[in-house]
Amino acid sequence: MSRRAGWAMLAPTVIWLVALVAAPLVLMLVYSFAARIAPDSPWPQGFTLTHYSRLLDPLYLRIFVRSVVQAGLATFFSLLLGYPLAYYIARSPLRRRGRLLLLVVIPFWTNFLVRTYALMVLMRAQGVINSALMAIGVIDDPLPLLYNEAAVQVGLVYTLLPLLVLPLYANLEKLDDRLLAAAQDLGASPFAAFWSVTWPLSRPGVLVGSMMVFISAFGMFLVPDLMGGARSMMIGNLIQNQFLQARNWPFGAAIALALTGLVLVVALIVQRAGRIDGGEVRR
Amino acid sequence: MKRGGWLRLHAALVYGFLYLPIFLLAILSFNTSRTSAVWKGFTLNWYVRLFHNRLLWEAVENSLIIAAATAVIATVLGTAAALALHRRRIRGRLWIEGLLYVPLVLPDIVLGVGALVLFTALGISLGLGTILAAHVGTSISYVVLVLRARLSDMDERLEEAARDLGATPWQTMRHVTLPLLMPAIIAAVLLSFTLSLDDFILSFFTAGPGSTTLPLRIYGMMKTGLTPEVNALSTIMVLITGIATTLYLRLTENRI
Amino acid sequence: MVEFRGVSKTFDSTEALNDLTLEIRPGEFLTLLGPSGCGKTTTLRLLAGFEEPTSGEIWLAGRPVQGLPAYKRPVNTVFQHYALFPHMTVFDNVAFGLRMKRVPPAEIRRRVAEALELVRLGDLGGRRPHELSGGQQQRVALARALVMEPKVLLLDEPLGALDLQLRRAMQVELRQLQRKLGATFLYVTHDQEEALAMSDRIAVMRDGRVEQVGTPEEVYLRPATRFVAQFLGEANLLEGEGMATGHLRWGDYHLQVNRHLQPGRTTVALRPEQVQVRWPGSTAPPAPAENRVHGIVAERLFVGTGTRLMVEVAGRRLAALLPAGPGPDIGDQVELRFAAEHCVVVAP
Repeated sequence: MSRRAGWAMLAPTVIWLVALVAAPLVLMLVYSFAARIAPDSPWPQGFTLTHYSRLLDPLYLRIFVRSVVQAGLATFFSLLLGYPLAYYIARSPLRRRGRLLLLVVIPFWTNFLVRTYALMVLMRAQGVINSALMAIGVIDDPLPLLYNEAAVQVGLVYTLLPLLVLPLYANLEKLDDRLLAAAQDLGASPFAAFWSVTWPLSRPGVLVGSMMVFISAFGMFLVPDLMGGARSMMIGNLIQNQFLQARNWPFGAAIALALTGLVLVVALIVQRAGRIDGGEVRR
Repeated sequence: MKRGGWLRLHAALVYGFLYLPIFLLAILSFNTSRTSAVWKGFTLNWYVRLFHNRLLWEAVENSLIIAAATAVIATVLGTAAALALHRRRIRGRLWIEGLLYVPLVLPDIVLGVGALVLFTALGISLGLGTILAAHVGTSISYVVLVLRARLSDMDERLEEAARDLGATPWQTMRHVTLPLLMPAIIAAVLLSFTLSLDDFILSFFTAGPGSTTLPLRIYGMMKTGLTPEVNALSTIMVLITGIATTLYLRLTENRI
Repeated sequence: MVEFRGVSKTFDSTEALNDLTLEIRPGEFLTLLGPSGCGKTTTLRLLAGFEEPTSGEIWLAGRPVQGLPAYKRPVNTVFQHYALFPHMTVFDNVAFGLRMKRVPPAEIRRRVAEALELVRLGDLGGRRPHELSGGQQQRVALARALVMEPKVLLLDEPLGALDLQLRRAMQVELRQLQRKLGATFLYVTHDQEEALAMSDRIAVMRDGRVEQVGTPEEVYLRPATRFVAQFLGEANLLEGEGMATGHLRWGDYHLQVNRHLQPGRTTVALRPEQVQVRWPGSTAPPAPAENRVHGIVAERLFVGTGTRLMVEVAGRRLAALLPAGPGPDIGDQVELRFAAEHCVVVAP
């Protein structure tokens, strides 16, 4: 294929991406240093670092830390729940595997809002849990299950779990059975075989899945917005707040870019970690 | 074996965790009571009201139009890009790959807010078009990902054989490469369609008044009060997703 | 028909071909033989047009073709793993090249039918590749290339994936096909038996160069270098001092070689089957042989067609191949005899 044809095929994509991904990021960078926005034009003017220094304000730092903690915990719990599940599916007989996978994929493809809502129906004051407990007589007043940080955590794990299971499953499925057989042939107990063969080889999948969960949780808006209270604000909520309510676009841009920076750092770290281990395992 | 037993129990519990809320939601959608979770009687009232909800249908229509347009545009553009990047020396390849990678890594909120800033700065008023532009912008990366995976799996000898037998590069692409890519192209169409239909955050920031999508409408309904209509709507959506996913997986299974 | 003139090919930092010069004559079956990495597949791909030489020229039917893309060259390839289009029927696979050239449909039907008959797959036009056995797939690949009537047919280890019986049968068939069509075949393999059985000439390659080109007899019985002697079949390598009288001083022996010998270190190759063995109790009358050495049998292996002996002579080991039948035991004293004409001087 001629070089020109190759470029012609790439051009529309590149243009679209530059317009909707690169340009916005650059614009936000400009905004984040803006001293003021003129009332008549949307364009930023002036130069200042105050928006970035504001990020270090304890009020905002707290939100940032909370987001990191929530995201980290969500990743941890997702791994705790998701790894054994992925392992179970990968080791299941072929015919059953399809159905088991389907059961993970359906929640994965179900609308995010719907899933969050389902959880809320379960947990709210007149929700199923409280109604059931009150009906039995265990409690008299409904428990405040929603609108706190714990609720956000449950919501994060609930919605992001399939995101971890699927790439992890893909990785575990490709693991060569013969390696395990070799380990056991050489005297390793099932647990030792898992620890010295399966676990190290599944690391790429674990890293990819964890990264996806962490980044999604970190930048999450919906779950803390619907299930969290005033005191469980995360970075996503802060950004939305600055852009749509406080109308402080420069500050909002600074936060968004700080979020971007952190996410890219995480992605880079995960890439490096994957490479040191020798990359993907293929059969 | 003992260990196998624990794994199975764990799996059952996790599946239960994933599905219990949805099942309960479905059951409640038939509940006569408006607010309480206590069962007060069977009714299809909420479904009926849903059916007559004009605003909702408008939102569904918008979502479907945008999703279809996104699927077509993103797949065409993405397929062309994947083919162009496939085993060819492109100057600036690293930049292009980086650009394609960004939407996959960045949280949607950053992309959404960025799009908002872009449109406002350029004086473009928000509407269905801006939603579409944002959706395509993020979908292309997924399309390229899916196609490149299939391309790298494809036996390169087949393209060589075609050239060996006298097919020009264009003929090779038409008669060999594209037919073999068809499963991946279909997967890409479905993927970008679903991502668009499902999207909340991007639409949240790029929608204008009167250009509501289904997720935005649902969000609105949720914020104004948890009416059982949302229960009914959610149940229907889960059903549709379930059926569509099952069909899709069955189809791709048989193909292999 | 084909000429490689000083062709070199470098991939990144690896030199795959080093100043390759080779000629392929019209109507001949030439095999490129060598170990993996010797450059034989690279040579094939250069002629097919999938790679371009870093330097040098490639001439085909009197015209230079370097720089010409693969789809414009009048050569066709049978790939190692067939590369049949999985989404097309056998008929469509074979017809592919003709369709690309816009040959009229009626003629396509005729030529495809002929090609399928030629490879004895006449009825299978409607099947898909995955429904066929390995041998059948290979024939489809062959038909697909032959139907184009190429100036040279390139075959890249086409029989590698077949089991032994089938491979032997296909070797014969391919050879007969080539003779019948009078076509020029360039064949690549690492299997020396295959090369010896099928070729008009063999080019033995190593490290990107051709070590020797010749008929199978020439290459086997008169190897030019140590490498060729050892790559084709088994060879005893006798290293000693050459003497101007045409003798080789080897251990305590002066072996008659009757060749013009340069004084100095010389290596002589001797095939095990050319070594006669006389042991206490052997009855066969000895054939005339100028050289006689004595030794003790160290090892004895039954190899089906005969018995292979390793004999210790003057502190070194010689291999000898006895025809099936009685022979000495381990530990027996034996006399080895070989003629001067079977001793070949090889470059080290």
